[in-house]
Amino acid sequence: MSFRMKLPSADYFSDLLKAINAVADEGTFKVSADGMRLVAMDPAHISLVDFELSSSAAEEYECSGELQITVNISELLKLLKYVKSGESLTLSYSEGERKLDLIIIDATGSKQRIFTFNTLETVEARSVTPKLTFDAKARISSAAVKDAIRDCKALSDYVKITISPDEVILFAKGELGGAQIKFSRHGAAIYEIVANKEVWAHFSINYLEKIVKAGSALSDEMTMELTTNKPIKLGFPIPSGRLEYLVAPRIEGA
Amino acid sequence: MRFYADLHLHSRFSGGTSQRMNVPELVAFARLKGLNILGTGDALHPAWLKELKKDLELDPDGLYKPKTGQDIYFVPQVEVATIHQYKGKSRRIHHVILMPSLEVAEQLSEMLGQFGDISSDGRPVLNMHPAELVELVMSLDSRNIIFPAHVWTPWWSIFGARSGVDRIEECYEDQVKHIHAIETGLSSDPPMNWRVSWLHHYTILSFSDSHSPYPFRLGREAVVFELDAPTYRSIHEAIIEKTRRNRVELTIEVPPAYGKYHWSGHRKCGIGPLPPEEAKRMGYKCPVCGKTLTKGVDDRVEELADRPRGYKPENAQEFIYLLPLQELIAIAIGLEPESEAALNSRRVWGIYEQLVDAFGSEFTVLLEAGLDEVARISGAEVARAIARLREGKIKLIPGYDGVYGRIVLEERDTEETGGKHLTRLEDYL
Repeated sequence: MSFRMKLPSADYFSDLLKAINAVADEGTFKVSADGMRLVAMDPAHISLVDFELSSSAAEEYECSGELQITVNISELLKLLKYVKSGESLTLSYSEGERKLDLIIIDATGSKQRIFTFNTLETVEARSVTPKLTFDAKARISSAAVKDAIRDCKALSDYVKITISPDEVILFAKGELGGAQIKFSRHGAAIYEIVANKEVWAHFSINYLEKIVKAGSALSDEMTMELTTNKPIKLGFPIPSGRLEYLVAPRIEGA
Repeated sequence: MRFYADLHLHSRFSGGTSQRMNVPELVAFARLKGLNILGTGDALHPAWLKELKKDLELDPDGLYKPKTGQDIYFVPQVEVATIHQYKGKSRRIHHVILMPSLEVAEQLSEMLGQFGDISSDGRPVLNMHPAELVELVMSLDSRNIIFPAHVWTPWWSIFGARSGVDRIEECYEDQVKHIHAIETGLSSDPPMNWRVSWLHHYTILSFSDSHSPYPFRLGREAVVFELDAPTYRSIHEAIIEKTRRNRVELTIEVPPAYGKYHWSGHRKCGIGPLPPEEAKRMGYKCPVCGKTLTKGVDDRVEELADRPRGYKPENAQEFIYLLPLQELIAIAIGLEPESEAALNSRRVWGIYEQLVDAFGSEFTVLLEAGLDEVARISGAEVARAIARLREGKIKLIPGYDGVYGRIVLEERDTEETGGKHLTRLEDYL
């Protein structure tokens, strides 16, 4: 079985990998005729990334059967570190070889960079995706959230996120003081709030920061879905695909 | 005189070790750490032996010192692995050997060459019975010291769940008379070993088994010797005879949960860390793949213990818990302490060097430095992390199946966030 995909922008694929890398160093792409999907968690199982890219996102796409391709994403990103705008990327994989081939072609078509990248043995991991329902949802500017997290980080390692029918609040308290960043539903940063009551939970800034930084590079808008003291779901709309995260909260007496 | 010693480490000629494991780097990092005496590691390996002879010279006091003149002493040391059959099962056990001279090491290297390939790896694998090894080592030079390494680790240890035995005698047979010490390994501490009454008369040793020279690895565990002089004779007397003049004053331990095998689990399937009762309930089978879980050291001690948890024998050897300063700095400034890149980052090294410059060594910073002064140099968070270490308030999520334990500054978290704890996604399944 084999797989081949040509993407118009190598740069964009690098950003997608960075978004996965915000949670996991290593992951398994499940590839089929419809596209590719990867679900991975960080080693401490506090955050999870659920990534999907449809075959329609590609200029050319071929996949015979279903394949699992496990890669060290941090290492793969090193190959894509110096891609430039306008460069295309072709990925191909043959099950027998267990190597991922990458061909990066510059905008003029005059220069090709060809990499061969060893894949890893796929180990079936237990699925720990919680089945969650959410009491509140907000669509919000990802850049605004990124800035708010940055402000909170100056004072604490943790942030309390609150979604109420009228606003989204990020609140942090540390020894030196506190920070509260409020986004009113009527303000420019909020696109939509769907909530009947106020919900909130505390999260580690370390996890949120990496995710929001990577996600905001891909999408100007993000969704936050929350129930009090339950994991938060963060979504970043991407063309022909899906990029979602879950982050477990800090709760009393856990 | 007090000497801080790490007498179990490896050179770059052992598998999976840093290329920086050479004498100049070991000396440089040992000085930062506050270590005075190092094992040479891999003293049977011909290429490393050659390098040791080039870089070290015998001090008139009877220990080796770098020719460049720094006050770091070296003891010829090697870890070897034996493979033998016992009760129809293959037993794989690591032993540490300390020797009085590089000449003795050279002779031993020649003698053991008939049992395995001495030059392929700094930690040679020998097809011989441990009793035969001890007999040979001690007949070569009665000043040699041999003891079982990291005795509880599941793999390659005397009491290891995978390929060990249940009693020291089952391993060393009649040669047990030459065994006077055990090395606890990162995943166990003296109180765990106190629970096994038949280990009470052995000297407890703790060394790093380091594969890299960085101070977050080298000297993570160490022995503080009280010696009348920095000589091999004094070290021998301290370990074997335990006299008033020469003795193990205390051991420096990482909390056992920091070790990579404290609790059970199956890393490949993301299962763990499992406390003993939960792993036992699962029948030590991985719920994902059905394979046998890697049994934790805590579980293995429980199997062999004949004393309750918390038992402390009379005249128990003293110990203290420490964690590498770079890990405390990393966590204090919000970096992931599990990441070697974070520990080696410019920010962490910057703070580390400022503190060591001010107080002389990492051990002094961790054990003696005034916290106000630490706070002034490195910020309040680092000072607070050191304070919590001294107060025993640092918590760890236990290590399992090769995964190091994770440091959690729980007390700080509790105070600052109203008793909140980070949960995991499994908690919401």
